[in-house]
Amino acid sequence: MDQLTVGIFGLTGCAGDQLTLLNCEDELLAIAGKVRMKSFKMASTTEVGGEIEVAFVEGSVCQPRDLALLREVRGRAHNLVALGTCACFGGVAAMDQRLDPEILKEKVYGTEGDLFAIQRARPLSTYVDVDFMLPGCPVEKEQLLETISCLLKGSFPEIPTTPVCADCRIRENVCLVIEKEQVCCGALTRGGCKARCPSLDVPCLGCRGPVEDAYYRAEMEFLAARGVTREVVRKEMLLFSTPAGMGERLEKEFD
Amino acid sequence: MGDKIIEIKHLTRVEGHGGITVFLDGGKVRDVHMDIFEGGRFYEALVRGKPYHTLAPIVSRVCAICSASHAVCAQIAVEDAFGIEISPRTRLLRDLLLQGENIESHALHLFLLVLPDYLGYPSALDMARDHGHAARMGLALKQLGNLIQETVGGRAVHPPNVLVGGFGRMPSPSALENLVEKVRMGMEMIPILVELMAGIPVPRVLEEETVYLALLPPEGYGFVSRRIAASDGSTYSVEEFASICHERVVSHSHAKQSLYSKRPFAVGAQSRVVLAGDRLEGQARVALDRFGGQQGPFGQGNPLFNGLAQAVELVYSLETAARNLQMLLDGAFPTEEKRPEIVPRSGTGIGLIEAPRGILYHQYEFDEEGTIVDADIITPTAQNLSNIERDLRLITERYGSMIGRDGLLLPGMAPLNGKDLPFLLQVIARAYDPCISCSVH
Ligand code: SF4
Ligand code: SF4
Repeated sequence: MDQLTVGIFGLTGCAGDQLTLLNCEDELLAIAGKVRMKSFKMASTTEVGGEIEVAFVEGSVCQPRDLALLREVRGRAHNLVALGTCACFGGVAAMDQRLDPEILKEKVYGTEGDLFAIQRARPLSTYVDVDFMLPGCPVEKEQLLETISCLLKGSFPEIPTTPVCADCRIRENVCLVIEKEQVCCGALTRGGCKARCPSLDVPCLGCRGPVEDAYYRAEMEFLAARGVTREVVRKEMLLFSTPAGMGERLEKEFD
Repeated sequence: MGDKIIEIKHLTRVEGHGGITVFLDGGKVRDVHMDIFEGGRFYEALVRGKPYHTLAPIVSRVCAICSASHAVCAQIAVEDAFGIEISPRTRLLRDLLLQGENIESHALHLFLLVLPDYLGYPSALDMARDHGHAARMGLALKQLGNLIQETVGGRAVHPPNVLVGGFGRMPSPSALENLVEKVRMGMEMIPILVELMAGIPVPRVLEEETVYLALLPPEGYGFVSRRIAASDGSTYSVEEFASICHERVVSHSHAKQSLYSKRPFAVGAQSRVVLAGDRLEGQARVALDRFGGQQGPFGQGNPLFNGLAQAVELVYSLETAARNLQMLLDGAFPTEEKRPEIVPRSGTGIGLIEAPRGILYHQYEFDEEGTIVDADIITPTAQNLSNIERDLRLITERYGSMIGRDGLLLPGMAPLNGKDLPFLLQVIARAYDPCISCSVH
């Protein structure tokens, strides 16, 4: 069988998901033997054009340059995998869709001329078809390896769709909202991280993006009964996934 | 003769997106640009209006490779603003976390990103076919650094366990015991690591007077301090940093650039070795001496020595991690403790640490509720950019005649067949271990 051709691409992000691939130290050399890497700029000078069976794309679209690369990659790739929460849902750069990116830019760079073109941070699916989403900030190593091994067999894996709360129950954590009066995004966030943060007594910040069919109204009533205001929700629960609709839905349920 | 341009569209084997453009005017170098075209996320503006406890998780996302540094630096700034004292155990654990990050980051850079240049491969994965031993050692060290970060920080990247005043949960004694064993195995690699690096000649392509800046701890070698030293003999306080490292916006780069007294300067492992190498002890000191000593090649303005400085620091970080673990386990401090009470107050706080690539500065202004009003982040790579451009210019001036010619002959190195000036420019830029996401942020 021919080797699977793969490309790893980065738009605007922190490279955490590409790093997670490099962090598969035990498996990296074996993976390298099984795939033909056509592009992985962070790790290799090799750059081969043409079709790719699987393109992993990290980061969100924050500038015209990102969009051009995304379209080019989509055109070459049979399968496009959104790698990490930025690519799936917009991530941190997209945390507040009410903010005007031009004003953000001016706050950082001053008014000394318009240096470069930007656009509002958006996930890949705003612009192109995405075949598979692997959320996480960064992605969980085991899920990344599972995805690669499924792709080698020609399929996609099953990634958990249950909320972080389900992971918390499995680990028998006490609930941070009920027992410790904290603001936690676990009920609205897709699990699969083994409730990393609540297991450390740290509230979930929603880094894996919104769970698909969360019951927003119940969650808002639950939080409101504990004195959590709309302002707190806006400031503390909307750090990663606003473009995926989580922000609007949360706000709506508060009315 | 018309104008000519050397263009490296996309620098590879670095974190993030950047290129190099050299403008030649006749035979002369007119300008050199380190083009940073990474998208901006505008963190300094994004965090405004957010509560202080969301700060570290947000800004750790500036960069994955040095996410622990960003998280710790942000918390130091919050603690500075609110007047919070941290416990000795928290201090030691944070240092252990930073040592883990330094091991991971240096192993990644040295073995996976830079060594392929010296051994003539497009990537470490290609290099591994012929030099499996070196690739595996790099991967093993990297893995150890990640395990330390995972154990202390709760995740190898973007550590959620680093809170204001302490940790969500302190790692258990059994988790620390497990690290002791792994660090011991890492330390067994030290002699091989040092000999491997000593056997790879560093090309003497450039020796240009350079100003080095690094933090100087109250004692010993280390990554946390409130005092900055420069190789011109000056020292500065934390409050002076933003003004001595003058940041300006340049038109060809999304990253700002810094100048110290109107001059480019360098930060990072090499700068730390130049300024504090005499404080190293144990095997790190032996390694430093093996590579020519502090007064040897490191301070001569050849950026290619950064790799050897990183090798010295790998040894230092392994030894320090072992020492920290021993102190944490010998019962001198209680294993469980409550975090100090956090009472926000209005004011400004500054965090300053040595990230793997150099001085990292976070400054925040808070209102009386602890909401962020203003933020300023100065990253190591942004500080290095002017110096990188200067070096690229000097290299082009010196080796300009090699453009388009095969078989670049570098002093102290076998001829690089099939490689010419653009290759050398990339080698120079990579030696600084640029972290481009950080530089833009
Ligand atoms: S999803 Fe998280 S880890 Fe991945 S690029 Fe974005 S910020 Fe970085
Ligand atoms: S608990 Fe929440 S914030 Fe933490 S890793 Fe899981 S999804 Fe991300």
